[in-house]
Amino acid sequence: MLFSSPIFLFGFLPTFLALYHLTPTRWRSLVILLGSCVFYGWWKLSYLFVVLGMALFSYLTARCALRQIGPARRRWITLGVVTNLLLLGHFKYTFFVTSNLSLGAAAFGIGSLPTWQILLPIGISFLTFQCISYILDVTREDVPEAANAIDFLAFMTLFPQLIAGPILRYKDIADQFKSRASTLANFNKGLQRFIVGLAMKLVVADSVAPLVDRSFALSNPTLPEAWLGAVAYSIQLFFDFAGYSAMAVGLGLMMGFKFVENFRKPYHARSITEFWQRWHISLSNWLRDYVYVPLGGNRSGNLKTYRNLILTMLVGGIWHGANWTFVVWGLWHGGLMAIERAFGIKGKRQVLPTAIAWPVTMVLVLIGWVIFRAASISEAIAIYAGMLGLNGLEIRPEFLVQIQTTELLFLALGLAVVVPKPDFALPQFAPVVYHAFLLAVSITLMQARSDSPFLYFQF
Amino acid sequence: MKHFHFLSKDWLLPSISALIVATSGIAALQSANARGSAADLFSGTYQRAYEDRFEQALPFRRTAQDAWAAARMVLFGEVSLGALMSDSGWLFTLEEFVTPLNAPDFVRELQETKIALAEHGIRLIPVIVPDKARIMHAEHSFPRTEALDARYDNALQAIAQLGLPSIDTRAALERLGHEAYFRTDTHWTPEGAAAVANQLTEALPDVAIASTFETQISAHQALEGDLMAFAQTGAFAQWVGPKTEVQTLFETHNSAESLDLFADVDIPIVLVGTSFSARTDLHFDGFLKSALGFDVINLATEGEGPFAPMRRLLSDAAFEKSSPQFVIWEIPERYIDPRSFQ
Repeated sequence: MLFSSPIFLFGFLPTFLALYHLTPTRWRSLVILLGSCVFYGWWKLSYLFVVLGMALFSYLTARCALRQIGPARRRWITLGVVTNLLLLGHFKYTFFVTSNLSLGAAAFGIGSLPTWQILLPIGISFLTFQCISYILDVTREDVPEAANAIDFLAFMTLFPQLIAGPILRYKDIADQFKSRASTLANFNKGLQRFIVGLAMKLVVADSVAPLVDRSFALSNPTLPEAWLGAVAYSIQLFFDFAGYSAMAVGLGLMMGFKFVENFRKPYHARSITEFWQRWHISLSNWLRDYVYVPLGGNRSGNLKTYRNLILTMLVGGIWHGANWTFVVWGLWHGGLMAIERAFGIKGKRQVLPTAIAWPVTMVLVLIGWVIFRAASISEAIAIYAGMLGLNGLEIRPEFLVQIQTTELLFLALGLAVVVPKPDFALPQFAPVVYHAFLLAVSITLMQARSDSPFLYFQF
Repeated sequence: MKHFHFLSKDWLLPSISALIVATSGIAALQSANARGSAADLFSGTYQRAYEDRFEQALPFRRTAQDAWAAARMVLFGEVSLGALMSDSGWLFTLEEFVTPLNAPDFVRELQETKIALAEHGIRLIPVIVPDKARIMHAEHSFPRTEALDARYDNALQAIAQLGLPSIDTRAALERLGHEAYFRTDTHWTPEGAAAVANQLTEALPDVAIASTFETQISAHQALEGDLMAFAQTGAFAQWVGPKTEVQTLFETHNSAESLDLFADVDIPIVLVGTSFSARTDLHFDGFLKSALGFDVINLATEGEGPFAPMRRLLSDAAFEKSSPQFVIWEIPERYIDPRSFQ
């Protein structure tokens, strides 16, 4: 079920919120759990059992580990973490691994090997990271274990963040399961946030999506075609993902939960290091705490610090998907972060002079987004060739004729919103007028267009 | 501003949102059929189907679609992807401005068809229908590549090089001006079809034209142009959007007095092509009968392009047994890949 779909907006959400707020507080975790099961099962009921199974397994593993000490505890932790990773690997990477092995075998003349394509449960990457963080946080005793299985499963399946984050850590939200402020003021704030997120997705992201698809489908894009596609994708991805996160935060607030923010003006960053403090913050925090720090962080000298940065971002890349493009993307960001570290970024926003720090950072981010979006390395290379002008410098008529004014208009709107600009006072319309207008426009566009998937659903 | 202090109340936005959501949601829940099987529930099929029904049942869905279409048209002169609207309100299919995807090699198709038909003593008569955007170029300013601009000439040249009659229909259509093509439809008008059919008599001087076929106007009707699907403004149509056209319908009769119902009927002409030929309201086959004086078997189909029906005809065992003298192959220009001529 998508947040931007009619069935969610007009069917599930009002029904759930009504039931939730009419339910006595002590039963609300159960309502969350049942509602979230309906939410996830709406996609595929059979895979709901995978989600519940992984969550329950992680809960029981952490429980068993807590009741042991020393090597026995470590064995339980290892069992929990490895099983989660194996499940993720099975669903997400089986085809990638088997198809590459088959290619390799064919290259060596061994003959082709069997490959298996397995349907990926939606949101499994997010769920896996949440399960792992629970096991580790509880066994490190950073947070007491969940009071009961219902509370824990409610946390794990909490539908606002189940499919595409933010990656919640139990320690950040445990107290809120015991008590949270379900006030009208919070509900109103949450609703406003949800509406803004919905508008980000439907008004901007979905408007530029066709332009992005056409650009990336070009086999030999010219310079303006390639750059237009790259810029449009950077806007689409931000408004799609940050819009989803805003909706998730808003939904949580409507239930009284305060989630961590996932984005903080990422296109204001003046270095790649700073970019990752602003983009998908819950993921970069998770990678820092559960990959970078255990690898040694910056405690073992410069070379190992650079290695750890690169490996951490490599894990981040692979987490996004089973494709060599994500591996390269992760290495790109990790490598840049290592270079910035070598030039003394620690504790600073930037290493480049202020006049060029932002534009250079944005170009580096854009270059990364191209391979992130491309279906293959060769497709990315074609776009890069275009960006360098190797395929010509003009916009071709066949591409130009397909560009719609609304695509450019909303692309311009998106750019105007995300780029750094001097502070100036906006006209102060009553928030209710502003948000009601956004809601009306969003609902109109939602019904005017039939297909509106979230980009981060694929992870 | 104190009179508007209620605008800052926390209950106001939730109330407005609840009203919008509840009115639509309750109506959709009541209308969408909830029946289904448990097996489908498990696989997700039930949910997808219910979601579609729920979406279709939303009371303001059509209004929202029409409103957005109308707003885009008024503010930006824009219609849905797949079509273009010029400043003068003419609609064109986007297909005429881009290289066709997955199109076969035109010259090879032509050559193979010619050879296959020649084995049975059948002559191939290709008729390339020019792009509407080409003939009505004065009605738009959308860019086209040089390859697309040169496509029609290249197609005629390729046809001539294969020893086939190279029939240039552009002048005949241009003489009709605005009457050659519909404003809101991809296709030629019956008048345009008639002009091209008449031109074939000049291209086929050896075909007898002792025509007993007579074509006359039968009616007039409003046309729902196929490109209107991209420019639907529904409830807002009286203020925004292309106006409905009126088309003339024709019918063709065989006026031969001595028509013997049980006599052998020799049908020397087969027509293969696309919707330009298949659509009865365009009446191309009727105009061919009148112009050429022979009955025409119309094997044109809609929605498949020009190549699939020809391939089907050539592989049809029944066709091998029939004995037409000519196959007229109507091919819209936009299906021809300009790279075929490189």
